[in-house]
Amino acid sequence: MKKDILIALNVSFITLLLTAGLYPLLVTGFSSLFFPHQVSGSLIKDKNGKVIGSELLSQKFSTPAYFFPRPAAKNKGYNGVSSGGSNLGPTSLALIQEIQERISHISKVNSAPIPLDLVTASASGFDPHISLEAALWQAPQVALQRNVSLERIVSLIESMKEPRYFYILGEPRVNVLMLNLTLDHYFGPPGRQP
Amino acid sequence: MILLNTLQIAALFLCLLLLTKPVGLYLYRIYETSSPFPLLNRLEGRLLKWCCFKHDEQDWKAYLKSLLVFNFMGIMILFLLERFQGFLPLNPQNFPSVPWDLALNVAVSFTTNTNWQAYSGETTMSYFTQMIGLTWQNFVSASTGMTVFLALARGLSRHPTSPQDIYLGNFWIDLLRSVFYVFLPGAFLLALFFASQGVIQNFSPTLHISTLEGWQELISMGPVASQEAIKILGTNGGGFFGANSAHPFENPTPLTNFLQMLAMLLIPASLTYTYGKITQNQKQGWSIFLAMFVLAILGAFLISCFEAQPNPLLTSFSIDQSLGNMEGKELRFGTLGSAHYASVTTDISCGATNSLHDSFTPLGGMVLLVNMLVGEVIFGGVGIGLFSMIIFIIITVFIAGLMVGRTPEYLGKKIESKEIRFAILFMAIFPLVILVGTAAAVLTPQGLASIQDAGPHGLSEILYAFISATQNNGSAFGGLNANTTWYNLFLALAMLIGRYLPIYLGLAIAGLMVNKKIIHASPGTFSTQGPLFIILLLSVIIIVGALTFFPVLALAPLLEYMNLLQGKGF
Repeated sequence: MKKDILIALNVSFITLLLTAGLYPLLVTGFSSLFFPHQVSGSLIKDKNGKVIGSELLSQKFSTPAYFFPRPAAKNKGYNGVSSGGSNLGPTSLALIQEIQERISHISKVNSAPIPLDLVTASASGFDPHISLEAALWQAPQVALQRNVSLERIVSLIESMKEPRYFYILGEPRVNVLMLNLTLDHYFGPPGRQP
Repeated sequence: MILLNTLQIAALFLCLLLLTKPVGLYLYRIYETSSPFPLLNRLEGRLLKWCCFKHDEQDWKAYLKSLLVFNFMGIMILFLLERFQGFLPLNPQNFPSVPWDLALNVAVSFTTNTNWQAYSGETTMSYFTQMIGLTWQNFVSASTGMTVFLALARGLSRHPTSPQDIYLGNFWIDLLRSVFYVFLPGAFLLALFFASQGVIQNFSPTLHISTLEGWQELISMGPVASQEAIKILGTNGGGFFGANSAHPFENPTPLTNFLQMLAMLLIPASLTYTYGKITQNQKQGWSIFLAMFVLAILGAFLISCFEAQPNPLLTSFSIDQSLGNMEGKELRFGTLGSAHYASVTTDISCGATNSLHDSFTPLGGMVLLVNMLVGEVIFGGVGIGLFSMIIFIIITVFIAGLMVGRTPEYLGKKIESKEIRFAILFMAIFPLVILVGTAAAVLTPQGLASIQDAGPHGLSEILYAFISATQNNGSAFGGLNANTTWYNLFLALAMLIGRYLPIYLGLAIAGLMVNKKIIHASPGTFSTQGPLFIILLLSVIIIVGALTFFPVLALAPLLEYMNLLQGKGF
């Protein structure tokens, strides 16, 4: 028994050194050498070098001249400090009520049926994408607010569309923050709403 | 949708099929040859000497003792790290010490390869605790899983020449070889690939940013890629962030999602080939693979069909439900990528999640429950999955023996009453702990207070927690507030029983079998390969593993489904 404890201590020490010391350091070293942008969070900076977000994380948008992302659950994701979702089950009346509130909140944007991703909370609260249908559904409002033709906005969405990997993996989607940045790039930032 | 579903499943399992043999051969070479790499072997020799043990073989009791001592030490070290994280470096958010009950739960959870998480990583654990403590146990708990499989496989396959041949290998060598030659190189490559796709790896404190519209928001940081890779490869499943693999910093693209599924399946599947090599019966290895393969594909297909269904409670609203059940899922994966991932992670006892299982449709959630209930043998966790599968095979052989009235034998060795008693006990542990635990939770106010959803779904939440802990899976119906003293302690107990009692019984069986003489097969011997064996094995798994739980499944997901069909919510 004594011998086992001694060996266990030694083996713990060696495995700690290798798996918890050397390994993460090597990964950090190599990955920041080859992929410095990605490992620091795929951050986006404005003209003054201030970080305004990450390509991979959604953020809150409320101005009608911008596209808005999928909802985050209460106090989760971009609404709070930790990632996560609602965890509400499909028979939960709380879920149905939340979806109903989201519908009434955005139904004035477009009278067509709302794509489901715009009224359901994502798993992480940071889902950066909306479906192509959801972007097209929001397009008329953005075009109106920015005084641009609908065709222009639609072609912009088409050009920003991310397809499936190898035609099968994932869903066709649009990154909301990148789309809004492109809007600002072409048409300038939106003025204060009247 | 059905075509796309089929193509995605086919792509995943075809890749797995192609990789099984080469990786299985590599694993065989590492464990069953005395010097897998001549150059590294001298280094290994020095290391062993420094650790003051000789290349001695151990019998089952010595093997088990080494395992238990090492694991107990792991729990202690992890517990202390969490309790003292406030005084340790790499804590830019200045997190205080983890409360004692949660710290104990996490220490047990990571040492038993469960990785049940009653906390959110980004608001509880310092980078030091995550990188030093949790990553370390991710490596060694996975390696511990490998060792028990090796010991059992050796016990069943060795040819004894004298009564002194009772040895099963050396725990420390099996453990260190798993860490050095399997998990470290594999995780390193995987981590670099993840980083290239956008998984972060840095030590910056949380960023406070002002968004494009001027809102104040937080961006969590940390050494994620290194932990993510071993979390997947070692079938651990404990995420760096609360959202686990749903967080874009853990799983940024559909491609990483695919690779995570493949990497989870890789080692458990390849071990079936290694097992074929060890037992010198390759056809048996493939038969076991095929039995697991069928169940895994069936689960993935069924669950993605259920998740693609619209929610009947939402049909009266003006919404377009063509995407399926999107609550708690990420758009880049879609319902298909989320459902497949959920099915794989419950098959193989990993517990990493890229969607919220709690928000799945009733029948989709039931597929997840059944995947775990059959005993984590649909590939199962690294090593431990095949370990449990071998016990199922022993029971299958026993039942086949009863049918024809012969003494059952497996791999030429007679299976006698003592082994069967141990195997039956092995099977009985899981329903006992799960059902008693669930019943205890339902009968106590502390157990009921944590439920989030009313109605039958609330029972599903408790049931899922006890299944996940006992089967060492670690995923959750996350609505349940599991960070209470009651749940932290009882789930820790369930994890300990679910991990070490089966290991004890399985190693005891190995110890009983190792010295038995090999009898040559006669025409009356039940063959453990081919279609007849696969069908019998599958029936035993489903009848013994899942039917025990039918009553409680009827009360939870099935009842919820009936209510949903009638448009009734809770």
